[in-house]
Amino acid sequence: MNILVVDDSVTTRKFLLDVLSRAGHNVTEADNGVNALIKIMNTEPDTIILDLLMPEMDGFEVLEKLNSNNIAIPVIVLTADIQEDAKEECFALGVKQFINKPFKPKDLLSAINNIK
Amino acid sequence: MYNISEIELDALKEIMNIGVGRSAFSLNKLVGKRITLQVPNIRVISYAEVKNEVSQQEKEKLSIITMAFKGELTGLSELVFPTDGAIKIVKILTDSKLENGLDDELKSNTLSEVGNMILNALIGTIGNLLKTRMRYSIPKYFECKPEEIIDNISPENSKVIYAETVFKIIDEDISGSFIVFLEVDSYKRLLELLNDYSNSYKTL
Repeated sequence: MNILVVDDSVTTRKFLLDVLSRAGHNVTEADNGVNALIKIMNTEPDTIILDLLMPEMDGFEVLEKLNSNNIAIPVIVLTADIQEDAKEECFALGVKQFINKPFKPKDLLSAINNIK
Repeated sequence: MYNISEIELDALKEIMNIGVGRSAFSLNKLVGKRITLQVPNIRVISYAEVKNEVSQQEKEKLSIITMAFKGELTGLSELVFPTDGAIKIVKILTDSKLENGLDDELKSNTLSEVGNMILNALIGTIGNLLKTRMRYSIPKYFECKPEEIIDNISPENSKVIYAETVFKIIDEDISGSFIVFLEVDSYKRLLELLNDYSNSYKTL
C-alpha cells in the first residue's frame, strides 16, 4: 500500500518509515499540511497517516481541504491530542481511525488493515 | 481575588493528578521504565516567586519542552529535566550509544516530540475532565539556567496558578517535573469548571 506520512516530527516520521516499510508498505513523507497536499496531488496515496498539530497548516485544515476537493483517501489520524472534542471533530471530517501517540506499531498496522 | 478554597484546590489537585497520571503512563510507554510521581504542588503565586523557588531547588542547567494552550483556559505547560536526564532519554529512545554530545537537531527533535506526547496527555486530560477544549501551540525545546526558567514565558500577568509534579524514572536515575502555568485571566472560568467538575462527581 502507498502511504503518505504527515508529521512535523522527524523522530516520528523515521519511526513510522521503519515500521511501515518493514510491513511492506511504500512510504512518502510530508512535514506539514501544505507539503502534504502537494504530495497528495502528485502521488495519490492509498492511505494518509496524519498528525494534527503542525506548523504552516495543521491536520484539521488538511482534512477540510480534502473534503472541499472531494478527495476520498482514507485518513488515520496519529496525534498526541487526547481531547474527546478533537477526536469527534476528526470523525466528523471523515477520519477512519484515530490513534493516540505514543502508539504500538501493531495497533497502527491493524488500523491500516481495517481500512483496506 | 486570588484565593482558592480548599475544595477547589482539592479538585484542582485531583485533576492535575489524573492528568499527570496519564502523562506518566505515556512516558512509561515511551521509555519502558516505571515512573513514580510525587503529590502535586499547586499554588496561586507570582512569577517572581516561581523564579525564586526554581532557582533555589535546581542548580543544574535545565532542558525544557514547553507547549502553550489556549481556550477557556489559557496557559503554558512544561516538561522540565536536568540536561543530563534529557540526554539519557534521547539515548534511550534513539538507541544512541554516543558518550559525548548528541547531535543538537536529533536531541531537539526527539525531546520536542516527547514533550508533545507528554504535555498533550496532561493538558488534554485536564480539558477532558473539565469538559473544555484547548488548542495547542507547537512544542518548543530549549535549555536554560534554573533562574531563567520563566524568562521565556514573557508573562502579561503578574500572578499564575502554578502546578508542579515531580516524577522519577526508576532504574535510570532521571527525575523531572510537569509544570502548568495557568493565566489569572482564566482563573474565574477555572473555578466555574472546577465547581461543575465537583458537582458532577457528587452525583455519581
